[in-house]
Amino acid sequence: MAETIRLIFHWLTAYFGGGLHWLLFLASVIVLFFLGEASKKRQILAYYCAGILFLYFFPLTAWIIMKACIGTDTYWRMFWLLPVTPVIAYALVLLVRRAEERGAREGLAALFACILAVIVTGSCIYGKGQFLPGNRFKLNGDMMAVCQFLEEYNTDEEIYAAVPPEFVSSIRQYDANIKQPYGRYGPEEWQPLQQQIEYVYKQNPADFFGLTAACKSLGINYIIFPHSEEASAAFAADGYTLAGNVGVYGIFHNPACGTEDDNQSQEEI
Amino acid sequence: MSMIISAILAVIVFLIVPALIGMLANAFRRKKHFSMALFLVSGYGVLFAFFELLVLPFIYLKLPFTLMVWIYSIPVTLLSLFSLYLHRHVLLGKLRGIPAVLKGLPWCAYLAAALILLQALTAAVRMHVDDDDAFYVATATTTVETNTIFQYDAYTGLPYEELPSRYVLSPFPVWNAMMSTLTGLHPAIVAHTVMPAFYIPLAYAALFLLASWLFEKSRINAWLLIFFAALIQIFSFYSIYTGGTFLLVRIWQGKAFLANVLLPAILYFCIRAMNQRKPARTDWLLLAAMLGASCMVSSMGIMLAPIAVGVMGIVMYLTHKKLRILGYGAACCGVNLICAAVYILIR
Repeated sequence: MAETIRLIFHWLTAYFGGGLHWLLFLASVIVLFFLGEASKKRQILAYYCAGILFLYFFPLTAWIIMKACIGTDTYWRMFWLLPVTPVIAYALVLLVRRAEERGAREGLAALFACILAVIVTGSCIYGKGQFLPGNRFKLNGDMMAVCQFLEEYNTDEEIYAAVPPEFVSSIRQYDANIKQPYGRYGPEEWQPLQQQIEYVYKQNPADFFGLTAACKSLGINYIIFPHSEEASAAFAADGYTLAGNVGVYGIFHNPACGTEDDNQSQEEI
Repeated sequence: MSMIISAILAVIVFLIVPALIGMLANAFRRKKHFSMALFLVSGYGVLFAFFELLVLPFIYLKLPFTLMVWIYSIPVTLLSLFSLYLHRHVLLGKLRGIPAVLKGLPWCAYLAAALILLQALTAAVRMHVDDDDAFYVATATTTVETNTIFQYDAYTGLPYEELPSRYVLSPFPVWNAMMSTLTGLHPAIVAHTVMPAFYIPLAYAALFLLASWLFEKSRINAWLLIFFAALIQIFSFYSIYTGGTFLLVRIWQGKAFLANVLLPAILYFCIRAMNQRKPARTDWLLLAAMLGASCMVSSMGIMLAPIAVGVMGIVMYLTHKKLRILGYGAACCGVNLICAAVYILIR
């Protein structure tokens, strides 16, 4: 139970902690309950919010929802059930209208005060992590160039490629014909060979032999790796010859990989 | 040229078809009310619920994706054309009346529209890198390229050893794949550019329904509410979890659609169905469609949407003292309950 209560407050802080919109929301719910004549609509909205807050905060319901419904790590999504935005907006409209009853100037002052309150208590989303894209797909341009090279260079084989970490999440968004040994989630979910490949990409200096050995065992026929003379020589010695360069990346191809003969030879090794 | 054709097709499949289906869904109510926001939101609810019921057998029977697109498109096209025919006089009249409506809008409507347009344009023009796309967009691309549904792992491209239980009941990425096929655009373009342009205004359409209910007799107040709502969403980046953050940076993901379009819409349709002496059967059906749609967009919707209906049901029961409200409310959650049971079985 203590853990459930800890999680309730952990996710509350994580969701609302960076600003004061929660304060606006609570004030708005109070406005709905108590401002002016009791309206049935206002009551419905206020009681609904109270019901969701009860479900969220009451340890037993919280425990049931965490364990049986939406999970512990995503318990914060319960706040999506709270109509935070419409309730705050509704209360602000009521306040502006109430001020307007005293006069147009008061109404205008209330409007600006409300706008200011929203701005000061929140945090603007723009300018944080958004930028102009380099292409209409809104994906990594280098990755797209590599995919285009592969599609032109490779005509008859299935493409099974080891790719740098910066391509792992995006390459199959652009071209689903390209297979890769592992996806987005962390090394703990992967098999040892996949872990080895990921490790070499992050290693400095890189263990090229370790990479090619793991790629051969998995039948990977393409390796995309930052190009250097040393990498070219090491990969070529192990059967992965340079097919071409795209930007800083070298594309190394081993046509023997993935064939039955190759798999047989791997078993013999 | 092909981009222009794709843009026209996008307007048809993202805007015109849902609006026509929504008009048809609301055509059988005794209390007629022309509201484009209502038509669009209910149209999406009906289309998504239909899509959910259609796709699940395709996934389990491993049928081809293109066959699913055909089976979806034929009835939807026919129903849209039927709706167009049925409402041709109303639509013509409303189209002619647009200049007068625009002239009569209050000042805050223009402010709200400007903020919403700014948000939609910013999301469509700028980019934000989100690693969740490694599944959502890659699933759509994989679906289009392989002509299969959930048979290949989106992360690696290798065949699934077992179905991804967390996602398989909520095939929103397959919807993206279908939109990509119908518009001729790459799934990444559909997700990152087209969907934000249509879905951000749609989120405000859902809020406008609530605003219109709250201020039934005052359009100006309803628009003022939307203006404040648009402002609040822009300033809701106090954490990465908020509905506003999901709306403005990744609305093409099913969970963002759930939080910003469907959950507010479910609240509205709950109120519409439950807060009447004699609710129309259409209202309950539309609520059921919204709940089915919530299953389609996100596995979280399977669970969260019934919680919303349950809480609102209890509030309405306490208000009206009619047990029927709880019974009908529970019946509307049928698809969610089935999906939840299947999820527990396959996870």
